[in-house]
Amino acid sequence: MPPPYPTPTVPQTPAQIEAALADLSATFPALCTLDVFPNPSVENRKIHFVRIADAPPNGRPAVVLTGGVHARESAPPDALLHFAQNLLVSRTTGADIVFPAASCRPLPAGPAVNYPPFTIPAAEVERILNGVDLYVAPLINPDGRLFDQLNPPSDPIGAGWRKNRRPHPDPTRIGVDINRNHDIAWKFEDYYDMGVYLSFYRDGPASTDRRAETYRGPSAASEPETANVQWLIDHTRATYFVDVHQFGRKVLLCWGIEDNGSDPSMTFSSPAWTGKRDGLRPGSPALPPGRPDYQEFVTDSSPHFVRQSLGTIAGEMRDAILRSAGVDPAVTTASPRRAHSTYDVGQSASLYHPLGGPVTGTTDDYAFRRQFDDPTRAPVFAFTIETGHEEESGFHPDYGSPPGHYAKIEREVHAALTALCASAA
Amino acid sequence: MSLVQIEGSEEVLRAVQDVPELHLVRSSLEPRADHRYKVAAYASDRAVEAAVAQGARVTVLLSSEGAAEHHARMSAAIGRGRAERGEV
Repeated sequence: MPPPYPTPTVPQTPAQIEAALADLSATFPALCTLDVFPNPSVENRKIHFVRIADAPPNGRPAVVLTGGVHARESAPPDALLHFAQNLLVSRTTGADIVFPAASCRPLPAGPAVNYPPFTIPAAEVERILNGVDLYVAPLINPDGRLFDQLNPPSDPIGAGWRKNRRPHPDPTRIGVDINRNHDIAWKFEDYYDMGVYLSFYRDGPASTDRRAETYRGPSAASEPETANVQWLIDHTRATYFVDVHQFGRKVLLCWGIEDNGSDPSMTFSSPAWTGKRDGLRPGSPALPPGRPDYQEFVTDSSPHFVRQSLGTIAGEMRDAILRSAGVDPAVTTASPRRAHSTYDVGQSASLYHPLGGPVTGTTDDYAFRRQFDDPTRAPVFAFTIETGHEEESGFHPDYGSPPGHYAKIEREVHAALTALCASAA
Repeated sequence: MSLVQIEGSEEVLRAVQDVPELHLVRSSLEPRADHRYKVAAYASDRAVEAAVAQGARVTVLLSSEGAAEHHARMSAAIGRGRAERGEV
């Protein structure tokens, strides 16, 4: 399909997304290369991704963007695909990426919020594609997405299907949560002191129950979809990584397994801490007397200042989303646009507090750990974006206009990822 | 199942976690003033009543009927597109 590429008006199927990726490499051969993941999905679907860059790999930082890990989260795969399409059209034609003025009617009853046009200048696109190797993998879990699309409600509670489609004779035990299956503190009972952890939180950092939405799987990276993401991160030696999820309006930075700390002896790989990490927030009264408050080490020294830079880059993504909504981040005047476009920035480990604690086996933490496994891989800056909101129909945003839920989400994803790429370039 | 916002203190939200037929979307958790929190959930009508009984303030964003209609409309559109493209 030749450009222009309009904003989708209905969630795209896995086959459509695969076809669109192939189309991009055929339409823009000088800029875009199609590649296939080493593992088909558990239902034997091939999964592709694209590399977008203005030159062969030559040591420029690799930016890896993933989406569609969780099946029911409709918007991220479509938004990531459209992001790739828009970058390629802009770089080829020299035209700015322009989102026209739009309105969005939040649930339950509005009123509509009006947004001005939002432009990503062609010069910025050119700078990005000259400065980074961009890898876009919009749909990691095609089996789950198709199941969710064709079988609503695809789960007993009506929220939608989350996991992959790992088969099991008992339908209630189908699937593994890819975002708890990665090789980072996967065996959480070794990482944490679970007695302490569960003294404060009702649920563990992942589940060992196949029926649970957060089932971690039988072993670390047991799932082909998980192994694919790990392969892409390692194959590209990703410096910047973003996994786009839905929903909650958050820009989350690593770690997800614990609060970030400055003590280099406190690392996930240290056997001295096996089974002794608390998973509690600093100052928690649940911490046993005399027990050190464990915090996972993040380097903050020259030349990369990783801990500080994580916050800086996440803040740039948040501010870019505000600017795309016509809001000046430096001015704190309350307005409907600000209220409906403000993303919280924070560490993944505290995302669920106080309803839940840190989580294990997540995609962004796997990307982040690689710089500690192999210092030559440093720096790595890894994030999760939780785009969208319940007032934009939750996991299944309305693609129609009105109410304009998906279109608003897509603008925000473009703004955030452009800011990240600009920081990387 | 309806899509709702639940607001309450930490204690109220912890209690609501145990309500059957209520699925909290924890990534949507937002702190509010006075040590209160807001979180989205998918919930049956019975679960909404139970959450209110626990002291939560519940705002229905999309009713059970509205959510079912939304899912059915979207699924039908996806199914039509698959058939037209020969994906089936």
